[in-house]
Amino acid sequence: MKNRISLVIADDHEIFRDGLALMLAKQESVELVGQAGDGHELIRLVDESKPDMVLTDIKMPRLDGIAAARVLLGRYPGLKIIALSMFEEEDLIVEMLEAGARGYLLKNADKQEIMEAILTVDEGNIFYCKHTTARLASLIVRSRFDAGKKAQGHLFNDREKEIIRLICKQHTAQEIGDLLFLSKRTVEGYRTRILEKMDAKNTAGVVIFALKHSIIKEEEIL
Amino acid sequence: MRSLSAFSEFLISQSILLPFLVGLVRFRRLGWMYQPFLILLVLGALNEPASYLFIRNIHSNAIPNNLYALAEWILIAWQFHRWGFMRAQRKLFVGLVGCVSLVWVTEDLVLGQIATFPPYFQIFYCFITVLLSVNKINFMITYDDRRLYSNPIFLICIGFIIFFIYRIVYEWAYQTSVRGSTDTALFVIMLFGYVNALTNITFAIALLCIPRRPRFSLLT
Amino acid sequence: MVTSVLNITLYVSLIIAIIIIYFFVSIIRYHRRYMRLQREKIFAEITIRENERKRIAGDLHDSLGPLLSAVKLNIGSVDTLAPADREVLEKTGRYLDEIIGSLRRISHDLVPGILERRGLLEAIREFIAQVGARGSVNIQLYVVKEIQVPKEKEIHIFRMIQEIIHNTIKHAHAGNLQIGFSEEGGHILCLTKDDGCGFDKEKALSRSSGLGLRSLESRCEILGGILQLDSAPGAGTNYFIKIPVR
Repeated sequence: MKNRISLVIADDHEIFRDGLALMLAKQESVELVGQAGDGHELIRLVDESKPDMVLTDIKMPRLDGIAAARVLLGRYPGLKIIALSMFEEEDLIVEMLEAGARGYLLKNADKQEIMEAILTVDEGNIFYCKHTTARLASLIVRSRFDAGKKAQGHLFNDREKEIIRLICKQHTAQEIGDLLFLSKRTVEGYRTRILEKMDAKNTAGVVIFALKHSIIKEEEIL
Repeated sequence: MRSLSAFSEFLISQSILLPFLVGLVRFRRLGWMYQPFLILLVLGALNEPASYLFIRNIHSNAIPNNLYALAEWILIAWQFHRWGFMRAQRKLFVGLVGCVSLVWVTEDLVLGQIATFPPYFQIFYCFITVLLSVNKINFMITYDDRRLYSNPIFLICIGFIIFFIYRIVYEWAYQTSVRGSTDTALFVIMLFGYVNALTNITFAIALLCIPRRPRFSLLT
Repeated sequence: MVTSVLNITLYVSLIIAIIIIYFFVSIIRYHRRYMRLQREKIFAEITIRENERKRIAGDLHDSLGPLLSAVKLNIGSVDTLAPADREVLEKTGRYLDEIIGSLRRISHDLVPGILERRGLLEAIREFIAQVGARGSVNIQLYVVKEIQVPKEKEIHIFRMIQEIIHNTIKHAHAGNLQIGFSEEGGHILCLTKDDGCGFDKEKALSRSSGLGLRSLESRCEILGGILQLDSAPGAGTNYFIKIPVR
């Protein structure tokens, strides 16, 4: 059986931190080893308990998530960091990614998505929150953030690229089916294959991949 | 010299009594803000019988006139100070009043002209008074947003301006007439009484316009 | 004798002339002081409003936000197998998402955090992206020449652009709005142009919706700049703003 993922969380809002801790405590696959209220405390806890992963808020007093991430990744390059953001401060999220975070979540994500994020990042992949806006996606693509996986853009045939574009434009499977004269099931099948090939977990991942590999242009989705 | 022979002229010159009586009637309402002005009215009312007595006995009302002029200056300056002029620089204000008064002292006492009608102090203090009034009026035009025409301070200042400018012109006319009169000079001198009456009526209206003192008010 | 009379006349005339000059000088001085006071009053009002907005946005972010997120998490922690219950929880979760979304929008409208972090142009770009997603107007931002804006002026210029964009969306029924920035001779120039239905400036100023226009003028004034409005019914609307920055 796989070891439990050891986790340190950091957030300056106590209420949210407690709620998150409570939820994580009920999960079998993770072990919460520390809670921090700001960047300094976070660094101290990581030094003490050397966890596998860190979930940290971006805006914190005294030392924010971005600075803390830089320090931590300097000391522990293998550390996996997921950023938490309240009100979708898009430029801050991009900065976190550039600083070395492997994924981000909005704080109103539900339990499923949080666990999905943790597991995805633990496997070594990038996780994009499903509530990513088009603008955030384009910001990420334009930033210095390196998505890591060197997947090829020409892995997809024309039909798949068509479907990818429609997915990026937020069409449902039914709508795509109507537009391309396919059944809903076929579309869903395509979608699953596309997600697999891209190593993406949700539409956000698809959008970012598509933007990065020029399958779709920014103006078409903004 | 300035005889008041005709009855109508006498009446017009007594027009000072109008604002004086209004002031008396409204005394309680007037309060601290207009004190010097009231004292001025009282002195003005007193000046008339005093002048009459002097003319009767000594044939010249120069002395009460000159004394009244000095008192007038001090009271007017004090009144403007009450209304806010140089409120912050008390010492400077006293210095200013002192300097102008020094002119009177020099003219009337040092040079011994108190029994005549020396022009310089007259013109000087009339000039300063007009400047003070103009200043106050401009201040009120740009800052106060209450109704201007029924503002007693505004009316009093208008009265001052009209009266003292005319006073200056009158002094010119008098000095000219002494050196050989012209028709203009005599006309100005004759008109003086009417201007005086007009101003006094304005003052009376101003005093009538003073509002009831509100119980609790930051505006004194 | 005659010269003496002439002298006296001259002196008296001089005195009266001085009085008249003093009158004009004095009134001009007071007027200028008054205008300065008015400007300071407007500036104080605007500053108070901005501070209030900051406070409210801060409260939203620090009090309401975490609570709602915690509620969402707590709901997610309720383990129930009954499908009806699960549906209720799911619906509740969606409502919470909506609430948080609205909060996000309100907070953003109140205080553009990105303004302080990334500067004016980035903030405008973000605002355009936000608004563009909701609205029907295609907004384009052009930067003809890189501009440097002093920190304290950024928020005001941003609010002015916000106001213009809001006006265009609300009233102009335009298809396109173009905003251009440039810099010239120590001044920042901003030109906006829409292809909407235009309006009558005089009428707008007299109606209550003229408040927006007046606030534009006020902000421009306290920045020491000028605002020109070019609009006619049927001919679209152009704004031209010029603000000194040095």
